[in-house]
Amino acid sequence: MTRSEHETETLIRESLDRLAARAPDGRAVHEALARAGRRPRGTARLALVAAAVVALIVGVVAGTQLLTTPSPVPAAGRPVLTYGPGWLPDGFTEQYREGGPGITPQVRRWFAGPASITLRTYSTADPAWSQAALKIASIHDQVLVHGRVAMLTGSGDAAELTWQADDEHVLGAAIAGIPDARAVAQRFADDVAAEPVGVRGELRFGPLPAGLAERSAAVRGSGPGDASTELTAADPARPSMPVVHAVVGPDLPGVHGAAPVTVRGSGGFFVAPGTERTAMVAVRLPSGRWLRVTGPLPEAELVAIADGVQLDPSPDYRWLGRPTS
Amino acid sequence: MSFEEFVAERLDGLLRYATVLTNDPHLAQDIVQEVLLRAQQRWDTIATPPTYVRRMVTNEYLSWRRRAVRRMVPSSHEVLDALSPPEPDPAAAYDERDAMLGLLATLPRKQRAAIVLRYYENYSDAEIAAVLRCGASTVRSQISRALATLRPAASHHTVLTTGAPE
Repeated sequence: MTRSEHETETLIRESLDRLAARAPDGRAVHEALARAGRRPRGTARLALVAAAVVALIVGVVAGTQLLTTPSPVPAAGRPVLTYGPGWLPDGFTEQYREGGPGITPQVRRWFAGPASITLRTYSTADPAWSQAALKIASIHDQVLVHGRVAMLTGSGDAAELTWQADDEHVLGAAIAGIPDARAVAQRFADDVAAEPVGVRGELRFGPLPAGLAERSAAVRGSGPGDASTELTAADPARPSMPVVHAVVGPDLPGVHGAAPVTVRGSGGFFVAPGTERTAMVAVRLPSGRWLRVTGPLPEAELVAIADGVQLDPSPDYRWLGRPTS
Repeated sequence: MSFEEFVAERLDGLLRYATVLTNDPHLAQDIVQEVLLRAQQRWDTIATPPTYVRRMVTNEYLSWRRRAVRRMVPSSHEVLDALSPPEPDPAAAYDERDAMLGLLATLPRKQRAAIVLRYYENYSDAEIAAVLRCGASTVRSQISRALATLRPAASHHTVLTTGAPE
């Protein structure tokens, strides 16, 4: 082995050892295993599922035995987004808001044709962002936002600026499709302020299968006329990976190859999972809008979730298509 | 060995292995958790748990990377990590180990897995081949190609200091 090869291998070993030192502690995994150990598993769980399916077939909505009791006021149903802009380039309108309970990232987006501005807010309680200030402080490409060191990346018509706005929040402003994007990002970030806005869509989760909890609520649309609301639910141990999506909007979901199924007392559709798609149930609501629930769950559980969805007769879509509310 | 005894004894090592494999402590935690939850359900049927679980973690990494891009992972965080791996002291020097980690991050996942198994786990070619389900000659080829990519980091020993320019 040449000296160079030996040096390379030594360096690889030292580098991997350094990386290993960044491994998380096992607390979260221990907790997840403990939770799983308390749930019915294996044949017992299968038996429960089978019992619920049979009960549904005979018209008794016993499927809810599989479900957790809903929180009286689902925390993710109407999230509040902490930060907003004080300045936007001409022509941009807000077309997306997303948030959720706890450390769920908050997202607001503005569009003008193909150009977009995205403001994300992360909690420093999120392990992924707890060290953001140190990381920002250790990189070369620094600017100041409200007197705090920020990281600015990108060039041309795309840039991203990241800064820790206060002890609890890390903010990211992403600019796409706008000339001199770095300057736009700086101007946008300089005027961002803690001015909370709400997200009130047109549905909320009812009961959810055991092991899932509400994760986020998002409202999108170019204006009130094409607005839709999307909720997601995830395993609390893996909140970054939504498992179930529930959407109400104006568009007919793709139901090619679907089987008929009763959803919310009406004729709906069940689309079986395939190579590129997950399972879905869909139904047209009395309002004429469409509800669809997707996720890697049995048909009976998807139907039970759709049946349990609570519709909000007074969603707030007024801000869609405006610069901000 | 019961499942609980295995977890008590091996969890920290598995998390370190998965972190080295994925270059992402949070993804590592997700993968180890997922693998252990599955292993827990069929524990009584697993003949050699340490080997089996480590292979599951490796396989999960090899398949998870493709799915991971659909996770809600903040892009700016990735940018931060790509530019500067976390340091306990922001004034710490950016040295050749960081450069090496940067190059390791560019490897195709099978090459990276082979490198990790060789230089972190000290596995032989045959043992790596068993984990990656390929031949020993393929392992040697993967490692050779990876080393060709990684060698530049060893030939540049300049220490760069991060932080604002003076």
